[in-house]
Amino acid sequence: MVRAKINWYSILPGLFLAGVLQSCNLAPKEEETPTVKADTINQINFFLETSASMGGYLSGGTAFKDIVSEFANKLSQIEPVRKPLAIYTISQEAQPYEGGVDRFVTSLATVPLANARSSELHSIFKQVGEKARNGNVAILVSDCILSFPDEDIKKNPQINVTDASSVLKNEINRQFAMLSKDTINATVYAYSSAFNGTYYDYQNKKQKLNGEQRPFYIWIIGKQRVLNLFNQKLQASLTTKPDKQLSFGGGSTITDYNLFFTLNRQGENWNADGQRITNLKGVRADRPAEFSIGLNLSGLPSYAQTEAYLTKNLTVMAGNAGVKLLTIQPKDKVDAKATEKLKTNESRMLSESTHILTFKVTQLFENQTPVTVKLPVRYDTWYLDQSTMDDRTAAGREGKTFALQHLMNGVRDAYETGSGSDKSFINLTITLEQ
Amino acid sequence: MFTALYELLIGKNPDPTYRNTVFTPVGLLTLVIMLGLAATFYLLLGRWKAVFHRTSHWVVTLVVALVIAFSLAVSYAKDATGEPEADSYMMGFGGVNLILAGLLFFGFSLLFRRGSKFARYTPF
Repeated sequence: MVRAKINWYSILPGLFLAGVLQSCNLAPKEEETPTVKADTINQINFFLETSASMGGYLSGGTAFKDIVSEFANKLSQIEPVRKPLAIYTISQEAQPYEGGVDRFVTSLATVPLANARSSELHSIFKQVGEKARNGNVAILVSDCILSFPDEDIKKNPQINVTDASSVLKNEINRQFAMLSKDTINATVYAYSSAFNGTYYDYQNKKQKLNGEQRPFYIWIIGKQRVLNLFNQKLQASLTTKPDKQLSFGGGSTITDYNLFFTLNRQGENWNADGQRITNLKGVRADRPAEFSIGLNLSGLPSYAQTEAYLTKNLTVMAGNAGVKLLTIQPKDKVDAKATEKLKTNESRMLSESTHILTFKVTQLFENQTPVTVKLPVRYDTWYLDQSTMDDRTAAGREGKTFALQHLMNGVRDAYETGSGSDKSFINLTITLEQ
Repeated sequence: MFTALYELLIGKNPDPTYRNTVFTPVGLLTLVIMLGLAATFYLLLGRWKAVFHRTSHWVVTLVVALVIAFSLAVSYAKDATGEPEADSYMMGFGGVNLILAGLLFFGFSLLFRRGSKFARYTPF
């Protein structure tokens, strides 16, 4: 038998080299992205208010029918949704509408749906809100006219004027406070449409309107994460954009940001390090440092993402340091030449951001100066101009909804009280170090 | 220490990834690898049999050490920054790490050769 003679000494260096080369693989591996479960909507529940006061929107050719049809149609196409779209008509008690989207859309055009007794909005919101829990989204189409029941108005024709700001507002507030407590938020879209039918003024007196433009509202209620996803998908697919919109509850405050190290950079010496900028010793008015941060504001209501809103309301506090907010740019307005030069790390940071804020530092006295950037929650107030307390004449109600301000204030109070008066959409700190 | 050394020779990169996650690990790994290579050459093979102890063997080991040091630095920086291709800064970093590795290997050679049986006078 021939015994193979192995020269171990010739193998050892090879083994060692193999080990060394293996050690080269200790370089950081690309972080495995955890599999994030996509936000999935459990079910979309669509409610159409069908009290008699809604009849005028459904009579003849109206924008209301077009918009609601499109809404129902687009809602049924939104994905991912686990269960099919559920449709209800609601005046006092919600009634499931059997027959699906196609029949509903057809029936809007042909069948008089709005013939039920007048409804109380807070009772409607209670039922709608119940269908906005557990990953569901609830949508309500309504004229949003706050009103006491018929019998109360008969006893006191002025009750809607005198008690809307107290009783009715508080009823609404109570319903939304319960939703706010469970971090269920709301977005309201305002539209207007021709109205051909009987209008009930605040004293419940009937008036025949023929094509007068009347506002109506579509409320979308759901958990913030689901609501954001839903609003994005819906707004992308709708051809008729709302005239106005308002979001209640902005989700959690944004505290995270990406600090860019070359984008819009001025000054050579400073170092970006996480949420700190170091080595700012030499900054002076004639030798400033400029840096940018990237924020993802997609979770904020859309009005709070506009340049105008941000420019007006963003506050920068930097103690005795000279720090100025230079520009606020939506990501797509950043200079294309600058973005082309970005390395992978910064490109990723840019892709994660929706807005770029650029700051200028001209003075730094302390070794360490925290710079606080805040965006206080300020609700849009368009609804005040769209509210009337006397809808008996065409002039008094033109483009306006009776007691809308009390309805909206009731909702708004529910979200502001629930989250504290100093709630901010953005509250972040950048530390500047010499 | 390594951060200061690298930045002194190749300059500062605005990307904090280098300071935070590249310079120190690469410097330490290079140190350990050079230590391991020199120890293997002088204390393992150099005391075992007279098979890998000549100056030519030492030069081969040095070349291997330099190649490892250069590719370690470049590949580590590429992975950490996520760049698909090595840029000039990374090549400079690789070059500086190569020089560092050469100095370290030479230093460890002087240190370990006294402990060797067959390579006591390698490389000189």
